[in-house]
Amino acid sequence: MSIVAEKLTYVYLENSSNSNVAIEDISIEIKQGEFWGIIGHTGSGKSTLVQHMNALMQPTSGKITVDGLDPAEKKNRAAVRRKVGLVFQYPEYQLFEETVLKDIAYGPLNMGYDTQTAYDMAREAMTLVGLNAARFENKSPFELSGGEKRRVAIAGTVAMRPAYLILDEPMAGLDPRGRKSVIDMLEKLRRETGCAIIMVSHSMDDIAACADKVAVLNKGRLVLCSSVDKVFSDTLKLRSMGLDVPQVSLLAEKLNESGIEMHNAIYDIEQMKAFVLERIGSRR
Amino acid sequence: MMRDITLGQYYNTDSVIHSLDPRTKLTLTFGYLILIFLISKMWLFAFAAAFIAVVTILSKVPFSMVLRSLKPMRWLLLFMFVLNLFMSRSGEVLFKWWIFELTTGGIRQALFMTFRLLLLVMGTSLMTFTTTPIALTDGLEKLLAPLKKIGFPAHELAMMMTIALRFIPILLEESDKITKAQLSRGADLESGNIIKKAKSMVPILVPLFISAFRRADELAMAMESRCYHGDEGRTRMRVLTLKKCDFTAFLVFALVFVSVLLLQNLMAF
Repeated sequence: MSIVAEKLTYVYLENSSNSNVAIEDISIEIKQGEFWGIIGHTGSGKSTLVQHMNALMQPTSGKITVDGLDPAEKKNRAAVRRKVGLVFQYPEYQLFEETVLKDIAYGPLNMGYDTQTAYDMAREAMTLVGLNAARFENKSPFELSGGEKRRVAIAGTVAMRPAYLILDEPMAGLDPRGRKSVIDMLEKLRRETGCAIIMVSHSMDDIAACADKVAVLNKGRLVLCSSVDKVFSDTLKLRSMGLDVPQVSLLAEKLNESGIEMHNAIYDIEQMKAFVLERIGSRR
Repeated sequence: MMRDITLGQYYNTDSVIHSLDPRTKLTLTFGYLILIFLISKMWLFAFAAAFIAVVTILSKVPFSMVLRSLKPMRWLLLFMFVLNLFMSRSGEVLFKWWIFELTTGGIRQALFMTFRLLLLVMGTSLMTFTTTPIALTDGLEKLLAPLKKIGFPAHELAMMMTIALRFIPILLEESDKITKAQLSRGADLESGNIIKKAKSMVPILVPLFISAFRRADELAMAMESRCYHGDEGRTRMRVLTLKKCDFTAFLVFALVFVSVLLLQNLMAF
């Protein structure tokens, strides 16, 4: 069970003088339960790629399947959208209902559940994203704070119980504490629902903090695609594309340069803390 | 999807017509409209057509583009033609069936009205091909400026038009994004009868309106914080000045205008 893309290519305004290749020849497999980070500059094709996974865009050439279903066939699209939940950038701008509960239940209702079941699913999703159901369900989504609105919007997709949850820049516009709480929320989501999470971001630090696997896009092509430690140890390649390196990797690089041997790449702040403390301890 | 809609039809190139002052173009287009309505003989349309052809060549806008601007009008043109064909009953009867009567006068009338409409559309679209919407509103503001004395809000009107034009592409993009977001939440926008379809638009329209209000609010704040306080004492970045070519354009048009009317009144046929 996985999302499989084979030689996926999408060209904007095909057959036109100003056609524009958004993604080219992308092959990737995302298995159930994995936590992927997708990194790239603006215009590198990240959003185009994830919209293909949600059947919102159809490839110009190549193929994508979700658990064996091909969204090129119209009858499969609704099923694909059930399996793959997509949370857009700034999702709080899509809220429309009178109450938080009704808004979150919109997806389940569209899936054909009766009102009572849909409301139960909505309450469950609220708990998953860290909103107190009893406190928030009857509030208007428009009187909430920015961070709460974003949680409500994410819950709107989580309530559909997707097997794959894609989030496009879920941390955009949040302060460090907000970012941390979104990361915690995503990890909790994966633990409790077992769904795969695909997080699009341009912040290396956010991805280093939670993803297992990383795909790096540059100018529409997939340039790196493997586990986090491999990708983040390739600082040279990341830099050559003008991408940042996680701050912890920067420190590891500096330590290496100054002659302190590091056995394996460290990109996680907790690991780094342990390593540094250990070194200091051994010197004494 | 919706991004493919091109707004306005400004054709970007560098020509004499493009460099004319928007006020000149607005005034002359208005004059041209009057001329078209004053013409009462079919053969005089040839002059108007020749005038349009010359302006098109000078503007470097391809003829095919000017013709394409007629495409949205094709049903109206056809409707006008057929209506006039049977409305006017003068001259010889060529054909009769039930209440329909085809006469030579009817054919004349139908052709006359069609030509008139064709020339009207071609003339006005030439103006929009050669003038950016922003320049047009600037020109309009200047032209309406004398009316400020009697309390007409010329500046406010132009500012509103400019802002509206600026926000059309932004709101289109926004509606595209919201549509996609609701589609991925399983929204069904296609099936069902008209009432169900209208209802399914609510999840798109509500966020779109909210975002429009939010943007309006933010823009108002941004304008105020940069000391915008309306028209009084406001200077412009692009000051409109009439140049030599504007006066030439007025002169040429006046000649065409007068000679066509003279021909119409002097010639017996």
